[in-house]
Amino acid sequence: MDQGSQITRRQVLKQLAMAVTAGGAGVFNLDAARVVHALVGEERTQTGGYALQLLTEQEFATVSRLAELIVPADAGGGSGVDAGAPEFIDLLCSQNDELADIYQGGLAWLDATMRQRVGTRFVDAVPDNQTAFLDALVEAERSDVESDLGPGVQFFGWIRRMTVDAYYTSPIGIADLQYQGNTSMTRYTVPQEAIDFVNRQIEKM
Amino acid sequence: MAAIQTTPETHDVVVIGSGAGGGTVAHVLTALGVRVTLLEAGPMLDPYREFKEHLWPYEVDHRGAEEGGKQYFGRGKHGGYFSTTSGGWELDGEPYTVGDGSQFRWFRSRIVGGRTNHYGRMSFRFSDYDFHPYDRDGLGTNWPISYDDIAPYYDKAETLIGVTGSREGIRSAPDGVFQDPPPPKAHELLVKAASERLGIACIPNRRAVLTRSVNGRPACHYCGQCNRGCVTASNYSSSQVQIFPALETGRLRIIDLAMAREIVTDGRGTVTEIIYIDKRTRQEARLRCRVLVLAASACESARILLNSKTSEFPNGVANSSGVVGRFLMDTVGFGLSARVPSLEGLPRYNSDGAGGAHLYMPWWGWERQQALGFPRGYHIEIGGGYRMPGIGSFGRVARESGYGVGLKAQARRDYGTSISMQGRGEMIPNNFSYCEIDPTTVDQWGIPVLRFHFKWSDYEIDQARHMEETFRAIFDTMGGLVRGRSARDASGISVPGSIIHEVGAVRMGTDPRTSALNGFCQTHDVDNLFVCDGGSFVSNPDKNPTLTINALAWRASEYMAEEMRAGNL
Repeated sequence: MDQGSQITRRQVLKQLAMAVTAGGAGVFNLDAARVVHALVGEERTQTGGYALQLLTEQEFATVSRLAELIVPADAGGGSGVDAGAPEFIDLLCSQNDELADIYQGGLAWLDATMRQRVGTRFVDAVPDNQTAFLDALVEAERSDVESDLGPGVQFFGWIRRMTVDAYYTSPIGIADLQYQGNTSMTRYTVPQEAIDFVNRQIEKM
Repeated sequence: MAAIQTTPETHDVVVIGSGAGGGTVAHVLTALGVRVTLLEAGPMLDPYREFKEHLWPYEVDHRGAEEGGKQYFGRGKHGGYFSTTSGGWELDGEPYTVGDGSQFRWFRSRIVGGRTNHYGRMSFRFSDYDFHPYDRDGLGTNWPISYDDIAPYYDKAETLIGVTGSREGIRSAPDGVFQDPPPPKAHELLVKAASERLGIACIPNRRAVLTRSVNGRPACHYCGQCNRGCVTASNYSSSQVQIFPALETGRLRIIDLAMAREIVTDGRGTVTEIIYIDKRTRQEARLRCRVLVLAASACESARILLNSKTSEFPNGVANSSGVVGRFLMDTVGFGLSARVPSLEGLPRYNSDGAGGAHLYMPWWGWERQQALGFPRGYHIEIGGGYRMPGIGSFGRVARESGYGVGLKAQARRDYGTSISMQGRGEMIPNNFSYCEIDPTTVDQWGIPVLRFHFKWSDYEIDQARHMEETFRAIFDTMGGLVRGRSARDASGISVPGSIIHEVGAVRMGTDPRTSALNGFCQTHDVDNLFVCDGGSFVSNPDKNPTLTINALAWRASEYMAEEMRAGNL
């Protein structure tokens, strides 16, 4: 499914309202129409500039670079930045002091540690140094031995999970997975090719 | 608190609660010409405002993580932001407490329709043997009614609410009045093959979802989001299927945001009034009634009874037996999930379906119970498919893969290859599992709250162990790589209350010394008082309770209407 075919709740409900009207089931028509009207007003336009809620420009730039490294653009879809991960993180941080501390503290630790290692803040380091550092964090995460990278492992865990969530809950991430549901069908069927595939697996079982 | 308001009018039947029990009573009685006044502790339901059906995660700015990322801190809504649950494990200003050494979680929903707006819609009949458990194994207590007593009401409930299924002739899972089931999802065919290789039948699920139109409710449109509430009422909720139609009769009046506090009697064993708090004004109000029906949920109904101390009932109205609050049960839950590599490469397709699984495994071991080492049975529910991604869907992939293009590649590979199995089993009621009034705590309405005590026995632990062995065997057969248990307890057994099948606490029985209700859900002590929720359950078979609550409430309502007509009430 390509990005252009993503449909909104409003469209689905509109289809439903039309289906119900066509089927003559009656009572839902007015109510369904009401929903459609209410939702039109609710729909947000996602275009235009984003005004930072909590993070500084500098912090936001670092979050954006990390989001790009965690979920890079590839043939299957765009990046964490394309999916709005930095905005998602900034918004939630602005609503929750505990989360704000995790991010602002984590970003400060990251820059301080990068300065010790390569003499620059994270965002100013060359890409090889950035990925080398993330590799070190992943290695420390997988190790049973405690290291002084502990705070970074914690912070990286947060930004990774939230970047991944932002990506896979975005239209591009959903298209990447080729999720085909959240729609309405008059009859539920499973494609024969899917059934054949499973039957082949059962034969091998 | 300001002056007490008394409504001079006497209401024919006052029902407390609007879930599966209260909804059924309101529907059946109004259809029989009886006027009903229904009190609900939450607000009136507007499905279009409340239900988040069809909403994509990117249509809300927090993507489902909730404001400030509550889901990340374990403070989000049960089942996720998009699930329709006005209520939850904790309600602001309405606490409950748990005794030392116990664990208990109590899910309450405060809205017209209660938990039926979002529940799992599993609709299983009890078996004939489920009504006389003591006769089978000497444990627990027999019901005062038999399968034959309730079967006609299962028929009526299934016909009204619409239940999918197939005729199988399996004793543990009696056939009902079924709509055609939807076809199995692809991954379920694999589970079925593995399960049946081990001799465990895997059959079409029985869920309260329409596959053809009933009473103006259109058939399912297969978005798979029953847990969000259904704007087309294509699944069962008491609000849309029973209460809204009952309102159309002109014989139902709903008083919402009304928190029932205590029952008033006349000193001679008859209920005269119910006292409630109007949550809008915080004022106390009273309703005079001819008949009172508690359907506030098992524990909430027990709470009202225990909080109603009168001259003739010093231990709470209808509690001369002392059993109110006792013999509280939940379902034994155990879950296991696995990554199933043989599903890698399965063509992508829309696997949402009718919400929940299209197949399940009913209990298969009732004839060789002695050899199993634990009493009673369980059924298995299946999860899997290409589900709408949400918060946390790829947390494991992220941890395993590190970051970068490899993370995305693993997500594409793993998507749709997870299968989970959930066991749902029967516990034996015991003396350590009960609720009582906490002597030191009241809620914001000034009403003393419940304190829970709960203990699984070895019967339940051993059953959970058997579930684990069974699930591992099924996964092994299909080449699945088992990941881990769904619960944190060392045995993997669910936290008591967390399956949200809490029943008992106002149990029925033939002997007024050991039970609170007769077989018609009428209290032994007070003729004009009924309890029509899961409180009446004597045992809690591995059949999710809602359909049986519907059937028992239907039967009680017909009895009630006849007794009123005959002048006995």
